[in-house]
Order: sequence, then structure tokens, then C-alpha cells
Amino acid sequence: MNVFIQLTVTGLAMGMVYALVAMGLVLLIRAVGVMNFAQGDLLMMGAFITYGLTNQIEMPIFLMVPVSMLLFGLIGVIFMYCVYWPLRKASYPAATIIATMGASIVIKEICSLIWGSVPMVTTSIVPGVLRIGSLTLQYQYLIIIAVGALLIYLVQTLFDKLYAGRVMQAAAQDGYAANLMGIPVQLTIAVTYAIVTLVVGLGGYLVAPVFSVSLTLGTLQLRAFAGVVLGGFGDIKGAIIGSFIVALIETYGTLFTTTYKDVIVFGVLILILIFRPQGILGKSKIADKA
Amino acid sequence: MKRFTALILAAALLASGCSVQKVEETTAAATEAVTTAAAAEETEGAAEETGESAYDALETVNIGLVASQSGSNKTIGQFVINGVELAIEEINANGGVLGKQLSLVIEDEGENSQSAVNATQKLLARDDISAIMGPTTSSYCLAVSPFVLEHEIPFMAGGSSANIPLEQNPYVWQNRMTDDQSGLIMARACVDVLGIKNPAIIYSTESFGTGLKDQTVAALSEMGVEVDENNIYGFNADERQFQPILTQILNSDVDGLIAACHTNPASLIVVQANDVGLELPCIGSNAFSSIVCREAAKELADGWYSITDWTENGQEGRGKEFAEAYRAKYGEESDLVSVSAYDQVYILANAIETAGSADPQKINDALGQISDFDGAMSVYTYHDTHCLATSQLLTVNEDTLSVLVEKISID
Repeated sequence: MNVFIQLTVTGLAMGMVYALVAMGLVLLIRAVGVMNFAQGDLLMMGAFITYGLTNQIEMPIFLMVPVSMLLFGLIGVIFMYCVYWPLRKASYPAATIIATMGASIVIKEICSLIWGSVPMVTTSIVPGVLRIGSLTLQYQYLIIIAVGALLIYLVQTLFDKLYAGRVMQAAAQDGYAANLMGIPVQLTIAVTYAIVTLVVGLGGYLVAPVFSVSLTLGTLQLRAFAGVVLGGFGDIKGAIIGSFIVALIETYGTLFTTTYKDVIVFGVLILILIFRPQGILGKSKIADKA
Repeated sequence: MKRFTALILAAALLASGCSVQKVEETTAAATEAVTTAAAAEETEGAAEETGESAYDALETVNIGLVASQSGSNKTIGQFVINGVELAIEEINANGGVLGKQLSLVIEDEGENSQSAVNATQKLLARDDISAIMGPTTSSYCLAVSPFVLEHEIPFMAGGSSANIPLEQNPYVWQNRMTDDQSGLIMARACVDVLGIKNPAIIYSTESFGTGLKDQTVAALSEMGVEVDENNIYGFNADERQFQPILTQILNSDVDGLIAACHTNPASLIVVQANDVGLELPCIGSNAFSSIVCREAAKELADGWYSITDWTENGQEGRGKEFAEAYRAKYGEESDLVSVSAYDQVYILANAIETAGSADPQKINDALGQISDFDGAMSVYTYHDTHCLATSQLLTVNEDTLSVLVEKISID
């Protein structure tokens, strides 16, 4: 029973990390129609930046969090102007997607030049474990679940309840009409990129104590992609649910096989694509989501 | 508007001027290339007339190196390059080989087998490379092996997988002990030193990890320790989440942990084993005593035993000389891959001297004559498997240092 509870907590924490990455992916797909292959690398960069601010500059956490959020937002805007904006009208529609693949390499090499390629261990936000009888749960996993849930709630509230979020949704649904109504489309896209980078950067901060700060952190995005497809391409709630399903299948799968757990995860994904290609919450046409 | 048009026209003129200049430069370069090629052909012709190899007519003896200069293995690649450059510097300072200077050509291994293959093919396409030193990852060595065979050039593999000799490629050599030998030493250390009777094994499913796991399980079985299938956990080489596996190990009745993988997962296993509160005796492959793992995991790596080819501490003779020279030149400690690459250069230099030629075929033949050659990492002797090393080390991490426990020879 202990193993099951511990695996559940681990699975939920991992699901939360995948969900943060997946939510950012869907926001960008909806805003500009681009699948961002550098999403995992933005998460990795978040881990490096927060490591630099915390362990190298020795900034206290109450200062580090707002400074890193500002940096992430700024990086998001720079990312948008370098990788998306110049190519948005390219005659070859996949150009913006290919550009994100290039950006993935650039981000990795920048981090490598600044911090080197040796993995770095960073201490947990709250070190130690919670002991309930013979059950031990790491505080870091509980923090990942709590902070991740808060971030998802805030982003959902922004887009569903607040005027600014609705403006951004309007610009995402029909940029031309939004422009005619006086909505600054360029600004809303830049803000979307800033929010996505901020969320995924904080995801990097949360995950760094568990996985170390290393150049291979970006590989986590593969599971987030699976979560996006599983949940329904273009649906935020679906992507979040899909991410949790992927993480829990992955974690419980280790009870049966550790070697082939990816086969289980992506086998389920293939089955979903065969029997429900629009995903769990997806509608039959992506256009319906726009 | 006129001013703007004038600017455009001026820019166009400048561009056309540049183009003319570029054409002239290209023509000059082409002329030079034709002249050089003609000279090379003349030299080759002359060499053929005298019965010498074209490689002996070159001004330097050129050695190729495939090492990571980008991506997540860049640090490992730099350790390799440092070791090679140190050896070449020493050899050249002592008069070089065959009275010529050794020259190094490096190609980027990257971080996947395709980029390793591309880098090797780039070196193989040249006609002035006498030997190649290969990637440190066994699966990459296996990937480039057919191309090496096709070009018939001696290739010093950086990997230690027991699958490499199974290829029976006459041009591929290893100067590290293969995993089947490491598995035997690992099993002995488990039982005799750590007293483990019921171990769990965690291994990466690529060539190196699988080979070492299989050999360790077989050796343990011969020693009367049967490893339960349920206590053997494989993981993909890019895995980052070991908590589910470690949680299951923690809740099982095993009395020790054996780990077989490369450096990147090694530091994560160490950290996450500490996170879940695993307090069993632990022993791992060489990655667990590597400087990269110890730097990443710091004191969390203390107490981990390792079967490795190298530790910078407790060395004598050539090993001690290398460790000191490396420290003096680079201001840091050396890694296993540094000393392995360093010895590869010396082994090749020795073979070139023995062959009396820089011709790849003659060097390859001379490698087959190596016997009791004293290197920094091991004493090297020819074996039918093309594996030259004769010893390995059992080390333990203490105060973030890798400390020698025992040198174990197999021959």
C-alpha cells in the first residue's frame, strides 16, 4: 500500500510538471498556431536561471521569485520576436515550427556556455520528508503539486474570467477581427509568450531539486506532447488531464515493467489516437476550438 | 525617394563588387587546390615508387578524434580532448613519432549516434588520417564500426561494451576492460567486499548497461547468488525519474544495490536514492566514481563503491605522473575518459613506432603485437578480443573524492 501511495504522489507531481509544459504548448497553439519544440528547453532554462539566482548570486527566495518571473517574461517576449514574429508570414507554413527546433538547440547551447554541461544539484525548497507511519513523502513533491495547481488555476482564471484574458482569447481566435476592434494583436501575442515562458520557467524551478539542473531536462517535453495529444489537441483542460494520465500510467507502469514503461505510455497514446483521435476532451474539429 | 534609390543602387554596386572579389578569391583557392592536389599526387607517386606508404610522405602523423564538443556530453568530450592533447604535447616534446610531430584532427561527436557517425565519416573521408580515436559511448562505437571496417583504419573505441568485440571488426580496439570482465569484478566486490547476498540491479537498457548487468548477474550466479528477476530494473538512457524504481527497491527485501549506467543518470540515481532514504550498500559502474557524478552529487555520492578503470587518487608510476601532469596543465582533476584517451594516444604512438610507418594497415598490424605496455590506466597486452587492458579498480567515494580500495587484475 505504501508503494502505491508513494507512486501516486510521484505520479501526480510529475503530472503537474507535464501539465505546466502542456498548458504552455496549448496556449501557443491557440494563440499563434505553432507547436513549440523548445518548450522543454525553456523549462530547462528556468531551472538554470533560478539555480544561478539562488545558488550563485545567493538571492533570497522572496526576491528570487519576482526577479526570475520578470526574466522569464522578458525571455518569452524575446523568444517570440526571434522565433515566431519574423517568420509568421513565411510562405512555408512549417517555418515557425522548424524555427522552434532551432531555438531548442540555441537555448541548450547558451545554457551550456554560461553554466557548463555538468549537472548541478540544488536543494529542495523545503528539504526533508513527511513521515506518516512507514510512509515517506518528500515535501518537494507536495510543493510541486501545490504550486503547480496554483499556477494552473491562475492561468485558467486569467483566460476564462478576466477581461485581459478574454482580449487575448479574442486575438487568438481571429487576429484580423480583433485588430479591427482595436485590440493590439502583437501585444497580446507577446504577453501570451511571456506568460507561457513564465509558467514553464517556474516549472523548471520546481523540478530542479528532483532532477538536478542539467541540459537534459528538456526531454520532459516529450511526455507533455503526449499529454496534449491525449487530452485533445488545442484544449487546455484536456492537456492538463492528459498530462496527469500520462504521468500516472508512466509511474504505475513501473510496477509491471520499468524497461518498457514508455511502451505502455505511448501504446496507450496510439490506442487513443486510433479509437478517439480528437483526444479525451477534444472536439472532432480543431477549428471548433478556435 | 531618389536618395533611397541611390542608396539601393550603391548597395547593389557594392554587392556586385564583392561578388567579383569573391569569384576571384574562389578562383585563386581553386587554383591552389589543384596545385596542392597535383603535389600530393606527385608525392603519392614518388612514395609508390619507393615502396613507401603515402602516409609516410606527409609532414605530420595525423590522428583523428571523435569527441563531444556540443550538447549534454560536452563536459565528457572536453575531458577526452584534454587527455589527448596532453599526450600529444608530451610525445611531440620528446621528438614525436618516426621523427615527425603528431597532429590532431577533432570532429564533434554531438549527443546522438547519428552525429557520432557523421563525425567519424568526416574523418574517414580524409586521406591523411592514420588512426581514429572514437566516442566514449559504446552504442556510438558500434554504430561507426561498419564504416571503420570499410575504410580499414585502426579505431580506438572509447566505449567498454562487451558487444564491441563481438563485432569481430579487425580494426576496432579497446583499451578499457570490457563489461563482461567488469561484471566479474563487480560480482566479486559485491559478495566479498560489501557482503551483498540479495541485490537489486538498476541498469540503463543501452549497450553498456545491459552488457554489464548481464555479466554481473551471470558472475553472481556462478558465485551462488541468484538475482530475483523482480529485483532487476531497466531504464531508458534518457530517463530522469528514478523515484518509482527506488521506492520499490526501498520497499523490497534486498540487501544492496548494483547500478550500471553512464554519467548523466548516475548522478540522478545517487541524488534520488538519497531523497527516498535508501540506506543500502551501493555499488555502481565507473560513472558513479566519475568526477562529473561526484561534482554533481557532492557529498551525496559518498559511500558509493564503483568498479572503474581510473581514480586520480592513490596512483603509482605512470598513473601518478599522468594525474600530476593533468592537474598542472588544466588546474583540475582528470576523469576516466581523460586517462583512457591519453593512453590511447600512447598506444597508437607505440604502434606507429613498432610499425615504422604511419600507414593505417601497418599500425593495425602493430597493435596486435602490443605486450606489457605500461600505460597510466593499465598495463596493456594484446588479446584475441582486441581488448588491451589487464586490470580494473574498486573505489569508494569519500569526502567527494574517489579513493582506491583495491586494484584487481584479470589475465
